[in-house]
Amino acid sequence: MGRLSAREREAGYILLDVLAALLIVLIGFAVFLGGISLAASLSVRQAQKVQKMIEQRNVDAKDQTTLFQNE
Amino acid sequence: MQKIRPLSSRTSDGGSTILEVLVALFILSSLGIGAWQAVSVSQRISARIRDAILRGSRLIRLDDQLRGLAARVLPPYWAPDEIVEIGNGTLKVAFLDGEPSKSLMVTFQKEVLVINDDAIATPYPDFRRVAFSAARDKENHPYGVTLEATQKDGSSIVITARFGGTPVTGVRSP
Repeated sequence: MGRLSAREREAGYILLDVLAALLIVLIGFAVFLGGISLAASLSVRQAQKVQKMIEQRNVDAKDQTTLFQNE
Repeated sequence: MQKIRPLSSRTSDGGSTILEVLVALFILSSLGIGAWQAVSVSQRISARIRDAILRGSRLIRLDDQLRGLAARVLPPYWAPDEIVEIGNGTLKVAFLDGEPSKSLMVTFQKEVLVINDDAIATPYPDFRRVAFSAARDKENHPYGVTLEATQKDGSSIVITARFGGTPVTGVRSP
């Protein structure tokens, strides 16, 4: 194997820099989109929880016995 | 015959630099367009998420308020069995706090549901359809009110709120 010239070595470093920058951008995008999907799943779970809570309160209201009020 | 002079290394270096710059510009602009698309889509999604969270919190507030007000309806023992009045987009229940002159009023007009306790009217917007009915036990005596609402996103919710008291006519003898 022959020795690399200074120009070739420099080109290799530039390629590495570009790849590193692309990797950083991709990681940034992944974190950003991951945050959004997490927020979306949380909002769906929150809506389901609200629905369940109201249904449970309806059942409680139906089963509850009414006490006589104090006159 | 004249000999053709080869291009100097300096000239060929200049050409490749322009090419590199053009390729870099192309890559950068492609990335920029992709990033722009991602940002606009994420903005739309985050607006939808915010709306969904707001809807959920509004529903809980509506549920709390309706149940709280229904619990304040205390009809006396001599009250008639039918204390729930349902009209066109309105629900009225007298004997709020045990007083015949005070009433719980719920109205639905122009996609806005309004709950009124004779002092404060609280609006709840963004409903497509709302229906009122009296909640009845097995012997057909009303023990509360039922509100069936469809929100703008198409999701439906049913809230059954119990009164704080029941007229004697609606109570079974032991």
